Amino acid sequence: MQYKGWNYEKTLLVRSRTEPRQDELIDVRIPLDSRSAGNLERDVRVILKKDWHLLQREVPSQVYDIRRGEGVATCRVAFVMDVPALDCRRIGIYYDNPEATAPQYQSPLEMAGGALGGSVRTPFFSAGLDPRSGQIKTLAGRFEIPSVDPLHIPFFDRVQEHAAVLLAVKDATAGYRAEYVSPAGWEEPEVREDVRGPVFVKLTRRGRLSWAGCPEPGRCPLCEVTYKFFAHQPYFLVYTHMTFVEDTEVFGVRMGGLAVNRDLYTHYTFRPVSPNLPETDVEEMGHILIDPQYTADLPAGSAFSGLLPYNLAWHGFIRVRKGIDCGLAAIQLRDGIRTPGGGFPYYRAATYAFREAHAVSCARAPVYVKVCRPENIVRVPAGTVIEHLDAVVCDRFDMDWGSRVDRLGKRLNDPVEIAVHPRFMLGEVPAEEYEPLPYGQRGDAYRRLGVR
Amino acid sequence: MMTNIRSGTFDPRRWKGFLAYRIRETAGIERKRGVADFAFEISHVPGEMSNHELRVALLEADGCLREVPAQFYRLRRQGSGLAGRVAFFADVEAHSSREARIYYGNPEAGPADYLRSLQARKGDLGPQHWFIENEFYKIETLPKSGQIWHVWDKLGSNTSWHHNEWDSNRDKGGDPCHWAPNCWVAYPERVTNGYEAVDPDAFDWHYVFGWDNPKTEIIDGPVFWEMRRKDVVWPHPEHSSPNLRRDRTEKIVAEVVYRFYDGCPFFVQTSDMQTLQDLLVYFIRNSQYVFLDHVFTHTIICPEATGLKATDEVEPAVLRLMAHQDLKPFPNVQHTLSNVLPSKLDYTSFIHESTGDGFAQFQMLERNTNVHSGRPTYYNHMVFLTELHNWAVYYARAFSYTNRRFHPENAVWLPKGERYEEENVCLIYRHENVESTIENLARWGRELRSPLSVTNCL
Repeated sequence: MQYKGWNYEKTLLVRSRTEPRQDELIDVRIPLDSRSAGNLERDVRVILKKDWHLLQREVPSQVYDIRRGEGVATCRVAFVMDVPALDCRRIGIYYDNPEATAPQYQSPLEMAGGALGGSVRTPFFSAGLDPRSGQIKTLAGRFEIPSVDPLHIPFFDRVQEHAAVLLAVKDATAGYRAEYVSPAGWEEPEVREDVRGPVFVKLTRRGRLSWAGCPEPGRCPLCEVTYKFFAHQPYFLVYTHMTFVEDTEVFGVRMGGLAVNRDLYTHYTFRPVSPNLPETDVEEMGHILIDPQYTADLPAGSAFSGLLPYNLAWHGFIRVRKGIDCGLAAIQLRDGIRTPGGGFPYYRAATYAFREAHAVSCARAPVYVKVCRPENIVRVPAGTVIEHLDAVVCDRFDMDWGSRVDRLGKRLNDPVEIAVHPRFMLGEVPAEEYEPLPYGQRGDAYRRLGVR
Repeated sequence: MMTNIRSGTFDPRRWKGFLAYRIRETAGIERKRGVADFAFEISHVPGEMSNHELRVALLEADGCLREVPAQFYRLRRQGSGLAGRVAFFADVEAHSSREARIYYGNPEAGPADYLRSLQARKGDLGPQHWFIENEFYKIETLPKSGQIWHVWDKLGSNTSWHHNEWDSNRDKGGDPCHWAPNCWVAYPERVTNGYEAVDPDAFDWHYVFGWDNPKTEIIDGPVFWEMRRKDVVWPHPEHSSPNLRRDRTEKIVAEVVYRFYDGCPFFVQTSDMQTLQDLLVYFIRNSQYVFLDHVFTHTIICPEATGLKATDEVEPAVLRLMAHQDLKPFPNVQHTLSNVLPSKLDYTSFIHESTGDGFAQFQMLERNTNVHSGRPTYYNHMVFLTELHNWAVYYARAFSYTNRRFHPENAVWLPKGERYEEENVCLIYRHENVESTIENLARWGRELRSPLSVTNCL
């Protein structure tokens, strides 16, 4: 089947095993004969098909990560489609049209400015990036409320850390002192990736986790932070990847951090995991009151000791009966720690929530030391890699909010099935690779993690 | 605190003999009125000796002996000897020790007569109706079961903490503060509503507060008053349809012990529950003290400090309760913290920021097994915090627990021989401010977990 002047087609058969999926993001890597890959930047089109010979309509797509090798080229193609339950949708990816010009798609996803200091706007929220570090600094929801003009609801106005290390630094006078370092302290980090298109925006920065005046920043942990914003998804992804280049003495390591203005929220909420509950049972959300109106007199610091499990399905903050009710949740998609030889030195590993004067925050800490003294130092071996992926979703809050977050978490962890036809038949080729938003722990693992 | 106790110099000359013990303080905390409670055995006593010919005297620094109120209990003759237990209070400096002596055999000695501030007064509403009171608290037990019904913090608001579970009891003093151990035995096959609504008849309440005059032993003396009850825990059909057909087989047996000390702000509570046949349950629990929701404003949760590095510390969590001001985001979600708390904590506490009411429960022991297989069954094993507006606030330990209790498919099968034991120390105190309360609770925790040690002086 030819699509106008296009010479080749890869056909995807997309199927949901469970529920129908609206606006499902499909992001596939496809291998091609390099002789057909001369104009990939411009000539790829994604067409919905009713049958193998019946074309329907073109959907906006984004082509990126093009790699041309000897005989074989690959690229990634991302687009959004509705997927029925227990039924196949057929997609034609057309390519090889030397005359094609780049398509111009209307997209609700807008980015202005650079990876440092820019701003992103989606139909669901707008985000502002810190000009120094590139970390998200502001997040505001864009909700349509009947009979009210479109509102921008503030979700936070604080530079996010996402990851942090409490380094144990030798000190000539005190023996050891603690230095708190995070990407929020970066000064113009290296921008590794800046991908923009009608389907998503992806920004990656990299830098050392060191402090001002650090004599040897090259020995400090290396951290990479990636944001991915989507045109049709109500969330964004935050991926952090931390490498300890040397044996490192620490008092704490935090990943998946989320910090909000305390006066914007009333509760911290979390969804734990209960792998041994009967299938027909339900897990409950937990809630801790954080509203400064009622908690201003409580001690600052760790608000919930180490009582929250290290693995939570999601956690976040909600504002209830205080202005416009809303919720901000971080759904855990992937977490991994690799240490050469194994045996990462977990210490009081848990999820922690922290109260400060004007902020509350939460983070997963594989290492947490309360009393920063030399005898309590934890040594993280050289070569240790810690990575973490969250989907951060902001939404109106109502009695169904938790269920919506649950459903989104399930969906993100239960990828659709994709078959590709025909397979590329030229020698050594990479396998077709489907990136389920974009990594995921798959359904079974997520069920073991808890939400049902 | 030695008020109301008459103690004086002790003259040992008329006594036949004594056993000497070394009372040691090992936790580095100065003990005022530390409890010494230990077994003793006198190998030979005069045949005609009465059990009241026993005294405890502490050896003072100046070499004098001072008699202290002592409670000898569970005494038994063993041939020509006498064995039993003794309890008394001793002041001991931190990291120090002192000698205590048990004197025996003095025909001229009458029964000891010590003053005691602790009162245990029988009520007139039923066979198990008691009032127990000292300078810190007043406690009233349920007339039929003997479970703790009302609690007053005499240094706080001095109003009872009980709540009203059932409207029918509202004018009769409400419902008890101590609810455990308990179990909802499930009958998922029992359908009485035609599947038109959730079926409250699909389970029976087996709660020890439903006991009707259980077998009881009371130990009374100058140091403590103890009530030990043990019996089959029958369903109480008044909490579901009384018309349902129920078999009369014994399903659960339990023992609950309260021990109240003279002049101490705490009491000790233990329980021991066992399943006598294979059961389906919706939950089975212990360690549950239930209070009216607006009695307390905050809770403090302190996890056990296990696996810590040399000088690291755990910090207690201080949380504002939500029920009393109706601040729960999901009003019908009962369990504030879901199931994240471990089944054993260092302590949990409730405080009221204005009235000064304070209650802490130190979980001293949790021991579970199956007496046949050795391994207990757990489905959702944890401590949970429940609070609902205009109702109650409480912690409880669940061994098996389903959040959808009306769903018959969630019934958990428990084999015969499940045995759950606990020991709690419940402290009733005056809350002043969060900092001092945390400090005091930490000290109480260290003290309670490091009782005075006792060794023979050979």
